[in-house]
Amino acid sequence: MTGTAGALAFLITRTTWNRIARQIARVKSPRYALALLAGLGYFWLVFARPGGTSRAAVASGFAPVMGSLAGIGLTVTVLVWWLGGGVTLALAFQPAEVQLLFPAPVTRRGLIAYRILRAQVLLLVSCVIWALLMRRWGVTIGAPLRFATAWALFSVMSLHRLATALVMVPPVLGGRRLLRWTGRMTAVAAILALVVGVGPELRRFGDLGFADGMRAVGAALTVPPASWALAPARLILAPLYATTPGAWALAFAAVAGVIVLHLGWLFAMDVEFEDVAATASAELAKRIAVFKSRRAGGVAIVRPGKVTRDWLPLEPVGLPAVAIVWKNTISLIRTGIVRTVMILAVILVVTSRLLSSTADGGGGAALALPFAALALVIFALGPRAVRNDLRQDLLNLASIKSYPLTGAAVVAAEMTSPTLVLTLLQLMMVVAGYFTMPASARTALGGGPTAALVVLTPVALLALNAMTIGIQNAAALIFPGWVRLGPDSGGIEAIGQTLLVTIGSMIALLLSLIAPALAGSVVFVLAKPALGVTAAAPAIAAGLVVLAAEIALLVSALGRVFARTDPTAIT
Amino acid sequence: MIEVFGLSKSYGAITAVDGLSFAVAPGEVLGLVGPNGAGKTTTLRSLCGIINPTAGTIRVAGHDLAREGPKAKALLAFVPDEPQLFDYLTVEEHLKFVGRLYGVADAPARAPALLEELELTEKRRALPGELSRGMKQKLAIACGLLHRPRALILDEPLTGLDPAGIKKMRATIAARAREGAAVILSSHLLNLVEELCTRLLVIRRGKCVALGTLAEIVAERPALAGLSLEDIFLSLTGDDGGTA
Repeated sequence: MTGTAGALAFLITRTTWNRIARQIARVKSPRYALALLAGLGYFWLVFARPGGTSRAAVASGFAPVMGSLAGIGLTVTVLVWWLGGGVTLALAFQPAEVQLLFPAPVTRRGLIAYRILRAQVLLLVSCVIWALLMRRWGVTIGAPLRFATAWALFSVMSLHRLATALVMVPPVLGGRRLLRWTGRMTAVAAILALVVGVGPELRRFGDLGFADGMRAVGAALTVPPASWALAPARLILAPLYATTPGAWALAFAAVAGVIVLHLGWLFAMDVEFEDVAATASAELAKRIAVFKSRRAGGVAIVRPGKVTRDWLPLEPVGLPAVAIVWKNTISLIRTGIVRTVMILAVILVVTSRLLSSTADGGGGAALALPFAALALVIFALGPRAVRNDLRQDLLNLASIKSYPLTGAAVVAAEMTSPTLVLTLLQLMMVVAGYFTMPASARTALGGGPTAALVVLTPVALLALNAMTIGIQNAAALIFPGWVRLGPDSGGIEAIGQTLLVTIGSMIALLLSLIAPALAGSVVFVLAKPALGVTAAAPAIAAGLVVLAAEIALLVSALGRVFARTDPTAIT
Repeated sequence: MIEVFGLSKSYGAITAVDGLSFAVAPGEVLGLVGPNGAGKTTTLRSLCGIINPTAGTIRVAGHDLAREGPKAKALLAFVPDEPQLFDYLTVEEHLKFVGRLYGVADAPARAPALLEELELTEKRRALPGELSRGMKQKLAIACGLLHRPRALILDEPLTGLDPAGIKKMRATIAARAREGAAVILSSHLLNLVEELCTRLLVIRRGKCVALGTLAEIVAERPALAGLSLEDIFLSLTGDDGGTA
């Protein structure tokens, strides 16, 4: 092995080994070990449990459907590479690779070989997951063959994308110009073949109905001219349909041949791709940062030039903690959550109007159920999605701790924005649900209960959301290692960690509701002889008072934790 | 303005800062110098209330930082070596935010002048992601200066600045001191320290090895006479230092 090849091989093997070693080392920590177990349990339930095995899938005829869909997906993907822009992103290297390898005495073919081999490492890992998924989709071949099939399939796609990217590197001259023209013409011909083959069936789709329409489209895809367009995809998907090892070996050999041809194509080209690769690397790094940021906190990195108008005023004097609420609300505006809320509001209003216009014939209060269900979903999942609080700001803890505010003031201010947003969302659901009910159902509620609902609902939602957000913030502050505060490495243990934190938060919420429920029950029992069922109103009010007291205690306690938290402890 | 008595900070068995005591008067610029890992950043972070000391007392304008945190912090400004900014706030929104936090009534009028002084006017609507490292540092400095702090704590404030930025920042620090602010400046740029600082606090392994004006330090250690500040620093902080 030459010096350069040896160095590149060292880079790949050490990087892979160090990553594995780091994962193993993390599992020594009970926290990660527990999270890994939870993650593996989740993984097993979703992908590998005995239920829903291949036989059932085969019996239901699911496998051929998935095969057809996969064929179309692969074909469309390749067409986009040839006809659309952006394929040069396939030439992206990691920032450190650009910095160290591009100026190093490595040939372009060496860099391409390195790029292919590095991709293989990730590809092999994902093939394990795909092999499991294939089993659930009804592919009957054994596990090692499923793994090999997945590897061959993704290798072909990966190599073809890389080769297409090299063809597209400007300036496209000589042989590459001919290649680009041929590729694009083939892509156009494939589109025409698909349109001519499937178009008539699509036009008849409405008359045939969904099931028959799908069957007709499926049949059209198997005969010329549409089958010509799908022929390459069918070739590399063929091992999936093999029912015997012999048939599989033949199909796999064909795909292996395609791989060899692609390798030959790649190494035959000698393209000056460095400039394009450096640009693609920077773009990819930016996209990864945005993705990680979104995954970390539901708050994306705001792309430059997309700053929205400054419509949220902030007076320079007044309660200082309001500045944090303002800042966190700006964060929501900038990251599109407010826009989503507005779109949701419009959809809800339109839907409720449509439903109420057809509700005279029946349905009654049941029409409000979808909105109630949505409000519940927001209550359950909202606090994990809307994270413009300490979960976002703990990464700036050093800065925030220097502010002239008490710990409790910071915690209360941090909790305010997500609490208000979630409450607003749920109130929209409640209002939409109420007005969706027919007038007769609304009248049946009576004036007193309606007035009590109008007063108590916003307060109750506010208190419940404050408690759920408080619990999420408490988890972040007390157990920062357990809550995703920023970009992390992901992996199975990260999934397990999320599961455990979710379960822990739910238990904490249930515990926090015991005292309010008791207080409410006592008031109800005492007031019922005098007030009848309307005793529910003072009972709920009493429960809310106790809940508010608990929230105040929580904020005070978290304030003390915040004050003594060392920024270096937050990772 | 800033009084520190017996400041210590330990992380388990490791003592990062060990019994530091010093005071900085209004208009004075104290240079905090020491080798990497000497405890400079830990000291500065303790002075700002970012981390809690294991022992000792810190007073800002008579307010005990531990007991009257918000009052003491309202008079302070801390500019860290690595600026921590909010990705989703523009440059001018950072100033608006800080203005409200510190109750700066004239912030709307003062912010444009500050942005102009730090050459950020053209970038006032930009997000931190669009700023260079030096511009981010300038924004952190602008945030620190907006409320006219009576105590200014700067940790490597010139990191990432271009020569023009460094020159302007030197003038800004000197001007704030002339206006009566007590300044603590940590930097490895010894020429900057020599130019701006009225006194020096040299620390090594968390302990004070010298405190006073350059003349006082040399007077207490005749062996250092005639040496450059760089040599004095190396002599005080080297493995055989601290005893010279």
